[in-house]
Amino acid sequence: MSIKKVLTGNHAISYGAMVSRVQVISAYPITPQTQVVELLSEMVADGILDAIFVNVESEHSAMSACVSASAAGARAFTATSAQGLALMHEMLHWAAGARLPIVLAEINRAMAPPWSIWTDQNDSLSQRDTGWMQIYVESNQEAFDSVILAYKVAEQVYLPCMVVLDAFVLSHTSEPVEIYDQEKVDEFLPPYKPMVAIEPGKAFGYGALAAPDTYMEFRYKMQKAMEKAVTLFEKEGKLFGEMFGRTYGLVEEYMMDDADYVIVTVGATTSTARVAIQELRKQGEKVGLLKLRVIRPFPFDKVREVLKGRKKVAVLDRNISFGHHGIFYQEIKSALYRLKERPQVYGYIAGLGGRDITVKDFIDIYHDMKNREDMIEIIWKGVKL
Amino acid sequence: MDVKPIKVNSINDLPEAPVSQGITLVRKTGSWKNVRPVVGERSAPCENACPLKIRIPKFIDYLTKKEPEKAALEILKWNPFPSITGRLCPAKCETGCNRNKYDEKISIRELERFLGDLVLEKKKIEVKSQKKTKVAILGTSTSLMGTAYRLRENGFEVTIFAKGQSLFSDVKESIPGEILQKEEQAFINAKIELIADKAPSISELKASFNYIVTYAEDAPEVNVVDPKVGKTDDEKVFIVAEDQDISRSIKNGLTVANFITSLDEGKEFQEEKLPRVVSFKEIITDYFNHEAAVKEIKTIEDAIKEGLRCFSCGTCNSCGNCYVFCPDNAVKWIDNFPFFDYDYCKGCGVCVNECPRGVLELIPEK
Repeated sequence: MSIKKVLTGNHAISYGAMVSRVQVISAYPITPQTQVVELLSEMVADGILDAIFVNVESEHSAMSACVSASAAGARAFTATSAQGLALMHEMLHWAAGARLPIVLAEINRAMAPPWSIWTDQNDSLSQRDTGWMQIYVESNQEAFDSVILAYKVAEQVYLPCMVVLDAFVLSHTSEPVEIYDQEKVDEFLPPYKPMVAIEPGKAFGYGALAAPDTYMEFRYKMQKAMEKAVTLFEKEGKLFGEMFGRTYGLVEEYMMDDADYVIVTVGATTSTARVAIQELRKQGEKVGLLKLRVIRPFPFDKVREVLKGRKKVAVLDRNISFGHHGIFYQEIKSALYRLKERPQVYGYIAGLGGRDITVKDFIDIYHDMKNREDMIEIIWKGVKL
Repeated sequence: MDVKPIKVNSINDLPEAPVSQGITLVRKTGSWKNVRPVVGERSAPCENACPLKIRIPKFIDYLTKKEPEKAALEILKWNPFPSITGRLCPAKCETGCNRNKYDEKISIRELERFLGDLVLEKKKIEVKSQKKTKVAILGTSTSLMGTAYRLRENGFEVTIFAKGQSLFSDVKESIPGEILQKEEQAFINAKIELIADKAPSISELKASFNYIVTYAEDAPEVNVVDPKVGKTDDEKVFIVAEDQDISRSIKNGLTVANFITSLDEGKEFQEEKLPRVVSFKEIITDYFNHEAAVKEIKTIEDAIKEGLRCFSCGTCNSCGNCYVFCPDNAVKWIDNFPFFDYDYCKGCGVCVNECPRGVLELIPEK
């Protein structure tokens, strides 16, 4: 029997890790992530969760501990935010390059300076090219579900996966979350089988030197694994729906059937956008919503399929690649490039450092996009000029 | 070890994760080097200053490895009478000692005396192989005793003619009688014949001996033609030159014995030369501590304590720095001594830089 609990996003993640039967947890506290591992450490101390909790002195060491644990054949978990994730950077490459299916809960927090503890996506997107898969969630239930799904896919393609959720908007906000029956989760998520496990007495080099005659082949294999994950996210998301009643894909469409105009969102703002779409629909506007859920691997085919034949697309970025544009705007544009007839795409930057993105903002964005004729690449929403 | 390279023709020959497929020994990284470390031929200033060329760092190495008897035997190879020189030698070795420039010289002469006395009782002249060649030694001073000792070692039948009753007549006043008695006993044990109170003439001796060795004043009828090896215008007669430095005198005696031996065996006589000296500048003093010298050695512990102060210039004393510091595991440690695995040594020179005593050197790769 599943039970419903009222949980913050952080605790939903902890429960997700618990039902995934993680075996090694290593983390360093940082706002707004701390509660994730705080609850997990209590679960371990209380004997509810049969895992080893490794205290470390930094996020770099936390990921190092997860790398070793995973290489030894344990299901490893960690969580962090912003500067903590940045400090992990070297070991993020290590985890991916060594093909270790670690799951990391990343609570989106703006990078300093200036100091901020509030949400935006620049921290996780800075790690976009490390070889980690990334799932961005909209709700606490999706956060819980995504931890289980992340392990399910990661352990088949042997690539690590981040589950990313917004600071405070999700991390510290309570919502009802359905915690599934452990037996059913076990049925969905079998124990982790490492590709090669480190064992005492069996000597070999893990992540040792690859000369120019072999290095590229390992990179090729990583890319192939990412490509395989595209299919797996759809397949496992469907199976998840059959077992638990909630189906997940790479993207989610909302009121898209006849939409001429589309708003693209990532993360918790999607829920706000949904309300705006409802209001606009009441006014007779033909607008729909595309939520990007998995951004690595990037769902090129799915994005093309959904956006093909639309008139205009507005991409909301809670992030910026300095000297370029919003990151999702770039990626949506590049996905559409191969289409013969492309919709016009506009990039909106909003909500950096946790500034609210309201229903009115989305309605404004919609009208701005609809009426816009210029080819401007970057539209700042709400900046005090 | 038999290592075979793994051929990668396609991605299927590689694992999914970057895990080693064999051992990296297949890559003989030693081929990258343009210089190689070697155990160089070097010597210490002490042994260079010593007329007898006693391998001082070598015997101290045995001593500090708690093998004092081996240390004493090492001295005996170069100097038959350490109990005598250990008391009378002007100790040029100590003047040359590199440690003078750091704090205080090693008490080398005292170590020599202690080790000489340690084995004096059991001292034995090891006769290599008995010859029929007969040598007469005319005279009994220490340098001639050196000639007798070495010739007997080399298998000659040796007879000493003494004007008086005892051997080592020149040091009788300065060396305790019991010590000289034991030195004499070793001669008797080795079947060196001693004929006392007799001073036969050279021509008398020539009738029954192949060679005669004596001092210039006892053989006025011959003229020295090669003072280095004691050769005279009479091919049967050799002259040992006396020196104020007792070690130099003994060396002269030994050189004559060595020359006669090569003559008898039909071999070319070769004068020994020590390799290039290790200077104080080459010693990495960071690896040593300042410690006062033990000036009077009474026990083996004293001796070892003093021995441990030795820089062991140019002689490997198994400190293991090269082995520890080699970043490529290319220094192997076999029988307490370094060996270089040139298949993997890249010639970085860390071992040479970290050798505290100038033993190792880099030589260009051919």
